[in-house]
Amino acid sequence: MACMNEDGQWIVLMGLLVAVGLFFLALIINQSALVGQTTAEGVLEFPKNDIRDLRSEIFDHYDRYESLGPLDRPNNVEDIVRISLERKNAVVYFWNGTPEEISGRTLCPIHIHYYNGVTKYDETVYY
Amino acid sequence: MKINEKAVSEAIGFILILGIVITGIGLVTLYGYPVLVKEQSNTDVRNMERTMIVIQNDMKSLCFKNVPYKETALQVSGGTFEVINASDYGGYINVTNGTTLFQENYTVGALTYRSDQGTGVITLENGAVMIRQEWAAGSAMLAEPRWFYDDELSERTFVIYIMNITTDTYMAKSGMTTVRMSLESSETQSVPVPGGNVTVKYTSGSSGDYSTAWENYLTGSSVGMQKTAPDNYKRNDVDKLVIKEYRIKIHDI
Repeated sequence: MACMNEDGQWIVLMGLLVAVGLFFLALIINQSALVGQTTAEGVLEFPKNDIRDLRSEIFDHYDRYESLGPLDRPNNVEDIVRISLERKNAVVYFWNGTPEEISGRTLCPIHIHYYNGVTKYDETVYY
Repeated sequence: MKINEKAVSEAIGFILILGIVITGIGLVTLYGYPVLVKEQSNTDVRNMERTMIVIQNDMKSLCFKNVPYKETALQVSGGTFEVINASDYGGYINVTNGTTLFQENYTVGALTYRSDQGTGVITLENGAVMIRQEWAAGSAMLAEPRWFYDDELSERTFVIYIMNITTDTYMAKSGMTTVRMSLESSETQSVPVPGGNVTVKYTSGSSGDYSTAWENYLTGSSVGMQKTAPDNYKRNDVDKLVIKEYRIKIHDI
């Protein structure tokens, strides 16, 4: 028994190392699946197109602003607010400030508020 | 190296090794196996938690993203998955605007998973995924519904979503299933709140008592209600109350 050849013991040691390595690799893969899921959910939840649609609708409203009658102006705003709540589930409001002189052009600040329970978006855009 | 090998016996060595092996097997059978079984049922419940969140996301697509129909394949193991129709469920949410003019009960219905070996019960009720332990008080919310309060405008708005689950028959399944659901109808109510107070009362249904989970959600930071009595909650400073009710039909599981 004392004279056994022990030259091959490194194979057993390597086997142990590979097993430990695989264990940690499995842990990392498991975590990455979780990270991917939450990231994908975050991207899906963000209402990028809803906000884009809303902005374009608001800019359309201000393009026609001069030609609208005094009653149509608040009615248009009310329509956009109602449709946003009904279809996009978002509390939306927008209003304009007094026009300002910015680098040689007269621009009107428009404040936009959007909140759908997950994403809150506030913007002041000079249009 | 010179070692005296006179006392080395192959038979005794064999008996010793065999003894160690048999003791090892015995220990594993005694202590290891029950742990394995328990771990298996824990894994089943944890998988079901994720599955329920997947179904909740499907319901969100039906309600918030104008998707008319959804089908999800899922694996239910170590327990039973059932659908309870809103009218049979018994659970409802009562909403009032603080006056006698508006006071309404919204029935909700539920999807429930009950574990066979463990005590975990997971329920999807009114868009929230919640877990509790059978025969024990208390519950926790795993995924929240999307109620919200917006106070950044002159008209402070409180939005309540109601997800009503309907089915034609009683349904329960385990193993591989496919949940087929569609949005039947949706209704938006906009209620003025003259006194500024909105009161919500939660009554639990037949899948168990989830009042603790709802209490923690409603009194938390996103909704910010105050508890006035057991299962009664009040929100101050509201000018407009919006209630969106979605009727989701489960065709088959």
